[in-house]
Amino acid sequence: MALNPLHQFEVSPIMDPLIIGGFNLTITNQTLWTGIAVATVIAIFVSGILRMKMVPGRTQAFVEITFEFIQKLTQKTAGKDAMAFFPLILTTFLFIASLNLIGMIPTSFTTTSQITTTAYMGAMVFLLVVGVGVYKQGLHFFAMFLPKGTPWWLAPLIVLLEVISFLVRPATLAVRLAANMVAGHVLLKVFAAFCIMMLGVSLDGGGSINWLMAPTAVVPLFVLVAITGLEIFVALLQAYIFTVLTCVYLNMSLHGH
Amino acid sequence: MELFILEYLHSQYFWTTVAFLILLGIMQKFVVPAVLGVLDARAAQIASDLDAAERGRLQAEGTLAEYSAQLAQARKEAAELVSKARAEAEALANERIKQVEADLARKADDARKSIEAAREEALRSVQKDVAEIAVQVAQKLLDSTVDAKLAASLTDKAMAKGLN
Repeated sequence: MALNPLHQFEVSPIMDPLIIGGFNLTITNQTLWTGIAVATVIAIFVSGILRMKMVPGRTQAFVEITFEFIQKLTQKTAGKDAMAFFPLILTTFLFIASLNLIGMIPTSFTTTSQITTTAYMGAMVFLLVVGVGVYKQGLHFFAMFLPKGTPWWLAPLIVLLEVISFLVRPATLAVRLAANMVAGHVLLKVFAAFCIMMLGVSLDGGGSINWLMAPTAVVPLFVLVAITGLEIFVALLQAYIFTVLTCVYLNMSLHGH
Repeated sequence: MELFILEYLHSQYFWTTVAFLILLGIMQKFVVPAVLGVLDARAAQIASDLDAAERGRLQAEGTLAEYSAQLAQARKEAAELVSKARAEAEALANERIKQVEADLARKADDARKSIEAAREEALRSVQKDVAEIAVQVAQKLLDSTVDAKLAASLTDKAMAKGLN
């Protein structure tokens, strides 16, 4: 079983089944690690804003830097009037970043590797973008399917393409995030397994160390360390990309084209 | 495959939403106002600090200009004092020099006069001696005495004519 690099993505209940109103809301390992991630963010941010000072301490400075990073991102990508959505965008970034990063802890669970969950997030962003667009621009919002200056004979094709590219947005958000997380964690697992195999120990726990081959296990170990670093970067990068795209979509909803 | 099991779909949606909403609530209610507050306060503080620094700079420049003016004034006054003192000293020195010169001239004059007097005195005494000697010589030659009164008148007469 431990050989299967996808085993780590299995959602399994950690408590008795919890069924409310016909819905299966059982607490799973995903629930647990989502909770741990959010609790960590809350702990850091709340300890950062307690006793705020003009000259910030380390935690306060960290909170402020993160805050200003997303603030600038929101203002530059979605405009000044998008600041109404700033808490939402900040939360989106922190939520995804913390879920991605908490997944880097060995034996933890990576919530964002679940395509179901990221698809849900993508769908929520999509609904938000459509809702804000229709609220701000009315039906004119859908005029973006026909860019200005399109020749009439191209219009049907362009509209079709624009509609498809619009509808595919949540799917791209979902797949990009989940695929990156899955690929990274599979890679880590594969290289870790490779390390153990090079030692000559079977993954079931049996066997003894093959002393002749064992030193070569250092090579995949180094690669493993490097990939771990890369994955931490990817975890933050994917959270950033998700946030930027949310801002870009929001900008289109707020200001049209 | 482990990735596409939909058994816990509702659990995933529900708990993800709950976690997100809790985080959103805390961000919106506490973190965003607090951080915006401190950022705005810091911006205001920096602006007021810069303002105060600018004001201080202007004040310092004003003080410096004032001091420079005072210094220039003081220099001018000092220069005036020095030139005045120099002029006074020169005048004094010139006067002293004139005094000394006049003094020297007078002394020289006195000296000349006393030399003149001494010379005349000496001349007179020599003439008198010569006259007496002449009278005695004449008495010896004539073998007779000459009345002193007469001798004096004679010598005076001769002196008046001049001996030299």
